[in-house]
Amino acid sequence: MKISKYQIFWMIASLEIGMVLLLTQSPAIEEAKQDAWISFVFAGLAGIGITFAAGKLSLLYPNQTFIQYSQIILGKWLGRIIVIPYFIHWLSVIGVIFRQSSEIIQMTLFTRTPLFILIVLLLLLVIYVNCIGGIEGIGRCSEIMGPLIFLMVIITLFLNFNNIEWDKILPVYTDSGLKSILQGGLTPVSFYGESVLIMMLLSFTEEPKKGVTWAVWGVGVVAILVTISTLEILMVFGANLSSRLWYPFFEMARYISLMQFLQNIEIIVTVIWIFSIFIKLSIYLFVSSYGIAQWLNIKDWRKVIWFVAIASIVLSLIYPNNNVASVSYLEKYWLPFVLPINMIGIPLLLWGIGVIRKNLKQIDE
Amino acid sequence: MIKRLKICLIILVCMFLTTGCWDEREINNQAIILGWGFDQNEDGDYIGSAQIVVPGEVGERSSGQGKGYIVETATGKSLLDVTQNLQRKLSRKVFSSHQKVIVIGERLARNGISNILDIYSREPELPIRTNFFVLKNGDALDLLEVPYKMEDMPSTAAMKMFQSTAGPESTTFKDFLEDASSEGISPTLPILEIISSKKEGNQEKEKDTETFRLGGRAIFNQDLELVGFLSYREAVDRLWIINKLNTHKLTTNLLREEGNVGILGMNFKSKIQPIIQNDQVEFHITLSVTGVVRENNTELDLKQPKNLQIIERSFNKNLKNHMISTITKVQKEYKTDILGFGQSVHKKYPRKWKIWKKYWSKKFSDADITVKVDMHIERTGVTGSPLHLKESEIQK
Amino acid sequence: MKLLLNLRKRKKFKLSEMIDSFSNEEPDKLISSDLSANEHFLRDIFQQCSDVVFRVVPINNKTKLLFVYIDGLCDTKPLDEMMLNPVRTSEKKCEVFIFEEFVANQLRAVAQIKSTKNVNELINGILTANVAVLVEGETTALLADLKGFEKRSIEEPSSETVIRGPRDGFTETLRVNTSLIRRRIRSPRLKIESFTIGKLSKTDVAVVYIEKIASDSVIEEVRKRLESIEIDGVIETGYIEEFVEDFPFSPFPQIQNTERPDIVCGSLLEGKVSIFVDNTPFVLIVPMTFWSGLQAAEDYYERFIYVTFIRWIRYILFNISLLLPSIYVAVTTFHPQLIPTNLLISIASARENVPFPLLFEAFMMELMFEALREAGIRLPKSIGSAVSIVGALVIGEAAVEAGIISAPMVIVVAATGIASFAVPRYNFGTAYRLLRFPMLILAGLFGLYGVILGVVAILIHLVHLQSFGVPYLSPIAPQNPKYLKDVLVRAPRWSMHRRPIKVAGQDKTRIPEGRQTKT
Repeated sequence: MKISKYQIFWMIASLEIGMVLLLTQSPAIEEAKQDAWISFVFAGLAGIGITFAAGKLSLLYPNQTFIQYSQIILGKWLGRIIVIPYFIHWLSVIGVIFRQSSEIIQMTLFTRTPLFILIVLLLLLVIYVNCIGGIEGIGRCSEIMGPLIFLMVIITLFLNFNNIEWDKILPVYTDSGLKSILQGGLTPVSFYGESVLIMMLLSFTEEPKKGVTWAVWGVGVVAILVTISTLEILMVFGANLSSRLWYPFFEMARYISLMQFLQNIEIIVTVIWIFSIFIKLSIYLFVSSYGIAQWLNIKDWRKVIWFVAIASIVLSLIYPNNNVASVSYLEKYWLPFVLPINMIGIPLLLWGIGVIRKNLKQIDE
Repeated sequence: MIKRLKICLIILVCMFLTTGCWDEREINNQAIILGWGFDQNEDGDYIGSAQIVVPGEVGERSSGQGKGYIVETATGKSLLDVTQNLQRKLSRKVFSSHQKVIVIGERLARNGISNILDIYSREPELPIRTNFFVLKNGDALDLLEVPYKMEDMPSTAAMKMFQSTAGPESTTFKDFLEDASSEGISPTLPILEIISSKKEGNQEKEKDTETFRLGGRAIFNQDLELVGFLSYREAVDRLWIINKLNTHKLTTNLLREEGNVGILGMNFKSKIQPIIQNDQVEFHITLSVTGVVRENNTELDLKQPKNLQIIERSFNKNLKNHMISTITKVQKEYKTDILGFGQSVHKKYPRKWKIWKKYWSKKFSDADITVKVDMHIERTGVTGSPLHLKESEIQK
Repeated sequence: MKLLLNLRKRKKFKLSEMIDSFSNEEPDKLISSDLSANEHFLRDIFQQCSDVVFRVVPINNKTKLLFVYIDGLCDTKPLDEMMLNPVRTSEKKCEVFIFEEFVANQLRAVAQIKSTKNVNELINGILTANVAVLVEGETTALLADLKGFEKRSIEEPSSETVIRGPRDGFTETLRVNTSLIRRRIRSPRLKIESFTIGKLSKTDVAVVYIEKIASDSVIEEVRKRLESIEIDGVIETGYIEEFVEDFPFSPFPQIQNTERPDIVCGSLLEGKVSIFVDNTPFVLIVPMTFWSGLQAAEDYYERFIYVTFIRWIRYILFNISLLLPSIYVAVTTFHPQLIPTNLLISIASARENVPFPLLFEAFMMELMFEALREAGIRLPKSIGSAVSIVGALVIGEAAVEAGIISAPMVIVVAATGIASFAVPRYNFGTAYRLLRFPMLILAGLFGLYGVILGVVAILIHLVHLQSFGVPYLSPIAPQNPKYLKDVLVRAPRWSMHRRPIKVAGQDKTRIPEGRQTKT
């Protein structure tokens, strides 16, 4: 299975833009009020940094996935253990994403259809693409869905132009302060940091160096688009309303009205959302199945897909309501553990040790 | 083995197909509510009235017998309760995603409307693009029953009336929420009044000549209770100050000449500048408008630039005086900042604002206001002077 | 591919039971020198074949010549000459008839001659429009190629008309078709390889490609797949198509077919390989991508600005033909809040008296439309117009007036029909016609969510589809920005420097870079 550098770009971009655009605006605006857009600038820079670090780490061993080279860097047993937080992270987040996405779809499109059906339908598609094409199929799908997603985001931003009032983002900085701005940026950074998945994906590309560049570009473009949309949300709704809504971007799309005819085009946001979630879930399913298969030395990774799929259905339905799934998971597990450990700590650690090992090896030779 | 699993999965999926769909609703089983009215009776219960489309009577196929809509009411303790009780009267399911107009009776407005607002932000089916109105001197139910011949649905008529001054895409609900939730401004809502069209000001309302019109603005305080009204002209001033006035036709008497001139105003802009001196705040308001002369009832020849300047000067003075009187009325009589002065202080002097916002209504009432109006006349229509005057009468 | 091999294995099983009487028994039987024995043998084989003609021409009262041919397949004029000549010469010379001299002088001047000693070859030769010449006392027989059957003249193909472009189309004769290609590409690099496929039909199949432009792997793959076909008869290229395609269960065709030589030549210049089959004017072109299904021949003859615009209209219409009924059903049934209010009221008032639920109505109308389309193809031209009137009046007007169907539904179905006619390649348009119905079901069950999921499912399927090693959606997925020039827009002729990457072989340049036509 080979993927090209453009596919890495589109995959990273598509997987990030959905959730960042829809879910992270509200917490950020709650912290930083009308300076939330500055938080997103910082978050974008931090995200690029994380991606860069993870990419450099993978370049040390370009033809091997994370599971494999962590064993090389840290030795067989330590390397295997250090991967376990990632498995917890991947499997639990698949469940949460399924839950959250189906909640949004239920809120906007349906009222009585049970969540289970929505989840199962999406799961079937995700399994389909993984069985048939693996990462190559996902990459090609993202090359088609990615441009469509971007186009729709840009259209939504564009059509809202006559609802903007520039002065809603004033006064800049004085109401919040550096601390709240940075704190508001934490949630977006943790979502941008999902690009550490490239540690698993870079081994499938033909030119890993260019793959890293394009992955960084992916995060960068998403960061720019999200910052602009945050600006626009603040300018349309003001800080007070947008911090209380669950999904301000969605409401902004709903608010568009052009020539009294083009109204209620929230369906565009739903399409963005479903496409992006689909790519994200497919990549996570692939990475989990492939990773577990490599970890346990199972030859055919496709067999692991079924196990991961069933686990994800269970994990998505155990939350009693949306609040626990989104807010508690975010605050209690994602921000305190995943962000510092999985996204920043372990890659930097491995990178450091890997570089030292390579230098030692060169000295030996 | 894999093949058998696949077949099992497909059968499983097909089972879902046989259980029917949960959310399917036929359009013709929905009661589409276009306009909604809120009242409160003496017991404190809410009365909701709904203007519901009857699709079979809409359009050319209707022989003119039906009005195309019906009005139904129900009582309850909260909006959700009212909707549930309303459903008992309706043969179709309540569908409120297309509500364009919501009218609040005056009594309910005076008692405070914060209890009915939550559902409008929370319920995903209710759009944020609705228009709220306050009905002066009456119950909202009466308004919904007034027929309006020019539009299919009277509710759309109310909405379009509002949009003719404020702009085609403006709505009142989002602005209301924003103003209510922020600390620098108090919210307002536009007013509708029921009048009988032939005899203005007549107390007896004859049913078939009844109609409604756009009034001024209803002022709410921070507890969302109705405290006062602005007249229509004052409401226009307010829209101008907060930069939301789209077009308006202004008429004024000239200062030194006889007669009046009417212009169509476009590009209404305003700039509020707060200046703080010795812990007191002054506001300098600069207003500008571009005008096109539409009616000239004087003898001036408008081809001469100096005549245009005369007209501009008259407008500037008269508009300024009216604006000052409006602002003073809001300051002294109602003491609520509905003009956004607090917000401008917040934007320019954020640190001061942190201190002042606790007692802003006092500070607001004591502030000094200076207004400057700048009108610029661009065109004068097709002629310079009126065509019906004799040559000797024209003043150059 | 696994499916394909299974299919072929199954076919092989059954074929070995079908034994052709004479070919299996004595494959190496030789011709005897006794003419009457030969004649007897041949008459036995061709028992009950009244169109096989046996003519014995005596020469010199010593030798006899036996001419065997099939009436209607051979050109009679040179045949008569061929038969009279030896009589005339023998009359003149009155010598012993010498076979080689006869062959050298008389027959070669008239027709292409092949000699054989094998009975099976002789019989095959007679069946393929050759005249068999047998001489008393010789074990060698001659086969003279005197094809003279009736052929259709070259006319404009009825299924693919253009406004601008050549108007000749392929006919049912293989040689005529290949000649149309030869006239357009005059290079010895244009290779035509012949195969014979079909036990009973023994159809001539030709594989045509331009050496070094077509990729070797594709050519090799085509050869391999053609050689492994075992079938009793090939009537049309469709038979070969079904044997040779990669994904027989996909609704999307992976092999293009056309009746126009200019399309074939354009494809050959892009590096594609074409397969000609005798007795049918439809030619296969391989490999195919999604985008070639949406291209018409005229795209390359008109100017690029207009063609780019038309191309985009085609893409949009194509997707509308799949999605419009489903979106209509989904939105009106599940999400009426998405429709603008005035439109909603109009639709509601139109549907007020209709007795059927929307999904059912949509299904009924779509099926009716497909039925109308199918019926319209087979009808003779005289009744054709009556059918359209019946369709329009009955289904459209009367049904709406009677309150059985709602007017918006008629509009939706008609718009979908019009959109589906925008697809220039017929076999490609059938894909979406099929897929419309599952999408309708999904829309009726899960609303817009179902529609979006359906689209994603189709996308996943398209993404892993392949045609002879070329991914179906290239150059969009996998992306190659340099080659997007012919897909998103139609770049001007002078800027199309390269051939499509996945298809072409070694010679990748069409026009050297830096060259423009402007003065």
